[in-house]
Amino acid sequence: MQVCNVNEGYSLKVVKHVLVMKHIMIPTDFSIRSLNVVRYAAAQFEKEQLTVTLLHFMEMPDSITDLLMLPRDNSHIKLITPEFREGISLLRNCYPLGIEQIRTDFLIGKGRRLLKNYLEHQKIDSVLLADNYEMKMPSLRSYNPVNLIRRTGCSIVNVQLPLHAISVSDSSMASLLLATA
Amino acid sequence: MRIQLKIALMFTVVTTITMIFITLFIYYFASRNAFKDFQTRLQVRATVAARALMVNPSDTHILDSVDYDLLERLPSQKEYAFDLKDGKPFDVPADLNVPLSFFSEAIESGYSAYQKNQHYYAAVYNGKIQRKLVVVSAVNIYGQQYLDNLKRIKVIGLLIKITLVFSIGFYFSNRMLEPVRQITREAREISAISLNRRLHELNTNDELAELTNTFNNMLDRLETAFESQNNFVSNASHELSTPLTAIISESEWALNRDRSNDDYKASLATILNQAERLKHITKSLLQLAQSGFDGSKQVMKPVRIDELLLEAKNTVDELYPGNKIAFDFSLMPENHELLQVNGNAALLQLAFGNILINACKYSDNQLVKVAIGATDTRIILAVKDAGIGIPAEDLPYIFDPFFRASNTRKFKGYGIGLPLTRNILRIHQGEIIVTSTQGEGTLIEMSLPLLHPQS
Repeated sequence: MQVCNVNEGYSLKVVKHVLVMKHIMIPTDFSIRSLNVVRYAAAQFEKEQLTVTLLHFMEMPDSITDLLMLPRDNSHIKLITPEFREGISLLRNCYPLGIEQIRTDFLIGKGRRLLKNYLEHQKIDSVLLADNYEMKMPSLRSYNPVNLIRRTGCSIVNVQLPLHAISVSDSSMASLLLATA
Repeated sequence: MRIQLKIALMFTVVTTITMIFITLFIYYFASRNAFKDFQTRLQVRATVAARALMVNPSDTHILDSVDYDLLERLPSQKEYAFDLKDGKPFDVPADLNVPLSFFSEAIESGYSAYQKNQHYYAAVYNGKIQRKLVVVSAVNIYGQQYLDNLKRIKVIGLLIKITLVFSIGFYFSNRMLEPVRQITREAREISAISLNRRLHELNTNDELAELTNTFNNMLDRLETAFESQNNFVSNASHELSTPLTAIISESEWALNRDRSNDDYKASLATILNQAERLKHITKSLLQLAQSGFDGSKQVMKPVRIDELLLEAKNTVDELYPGNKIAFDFSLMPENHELLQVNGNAALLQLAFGNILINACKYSDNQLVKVAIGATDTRIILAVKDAGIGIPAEDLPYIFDPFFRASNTRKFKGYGIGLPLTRNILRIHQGEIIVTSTQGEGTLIEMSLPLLHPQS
């Protein structure tokens, strides 16, 4: 976006409007409805350029063979549905300037220190939590990370998701399109 | 002749010709070998006879005993011995039916062979010592039998093979043409009143699947043209009747008895008002049905969906002045290319118009939300109303022409709008998904492929 804005009245003073980069993390369950938080973030942090990490939380497998194969196991990638990808591309097309990047990631394991390390390593500024949204568990190993996030002591922004007048399936694209507050 | 029979016959003829060639080839070489073998056997006998004569030149009968001891007698075997010592000519017996060259060749080279029909002759001449010519003749019955047998086997085999090949050919051509027959059966059932039926799409990648697809596409276009006419007629009869009734009743009221000037003025104003509305309606209806009239030029060109949507809304405004259609463009992409599809503007406008009209009509002009968004491959439109909804048991049939849900009695309509919309979207490779809860409202999601999909 605009990098510098030269004011002619003050020829010596160059005012720079450098966009603030902001990296936010949003826990996701790969439903389209949960993408509304991204929409909220894009509207809320209009001045900043956002990098969004959609993070899905999964527990470690408890069988030894699964643990052995864990570094090579890609089965969790299948949890990302084609509709979810479409929803992300829809948002990216809508905010081509405001959102620098939307990426999807998995955090495998459960623990305050693990999450803290992840947030620090990824240089995540704040975490967005939807208060009125009950997370679905798309796989047996998925877990609801809300309490864990709250205990980590990172910067949390609470979001109210708009409610629908009629029941719209969480996985349908309309839950994103028609969700205006 | 049926193609199935033609294919079977052609297959049979080609195979039969090949098989006949192979049979003749086998027969020829088999017969040649049979003759060669017999000739060798005769020659052996002639040589043995000549040797026997050498041991005992005077006794010609010795030939018989030698043969019996060591060699099996050939059928009708006869031996002749000629003494050429004095150089005088010898008498040829009447039953020795051979040309003179046979003898002269034997005298020159020491050996000669001759064959006529099944009679075989071999001559051995040992000129150095005795100057005696021995001729042995026999009839090749075995060879003949062998060849006859071979011929019989070959002919019977050929007949069996032809029958087999024909039945296999018939069976396979039958199987091959089964999809064609199915297409014919299904196409026969499609008529003007059942234009919504389609042929079963074959999940192969061959010419027949292509034919089915082409046929179905043709039906899509035909049905759309047909329905847009119907749509116009039904909309016209419905929308025009209200202002017409108002005009008629207003004039009747005015003409009933003498009225005051003000009353006449008020009456005329109402009539004028209704007539203008009538004009508006006719114009917008014509605009809606435009695609039906210029069906000859269903051209596809790049169009912008948001513009079409707004134009459709203008048309709906004319027909339903009190509508509350709210556009939500907050998720609309910033890049204009992501709003372009390859399509027919008039048809798409008709489709959107129909959906918006339905949303307004069945919700009694309550709030209708319209949102638009674009992914990397398609544009998605969502239209949500808070109307009467569609009963769950009716939901599977809403795209059938002339079907109306059971709770629509108090609204006028003919059940044409949704099938037409679906067809228009189908022509554009789009999709329509309807979700509804009775009493709560209906959500319609339409999607159309982008003109320039992002990588």
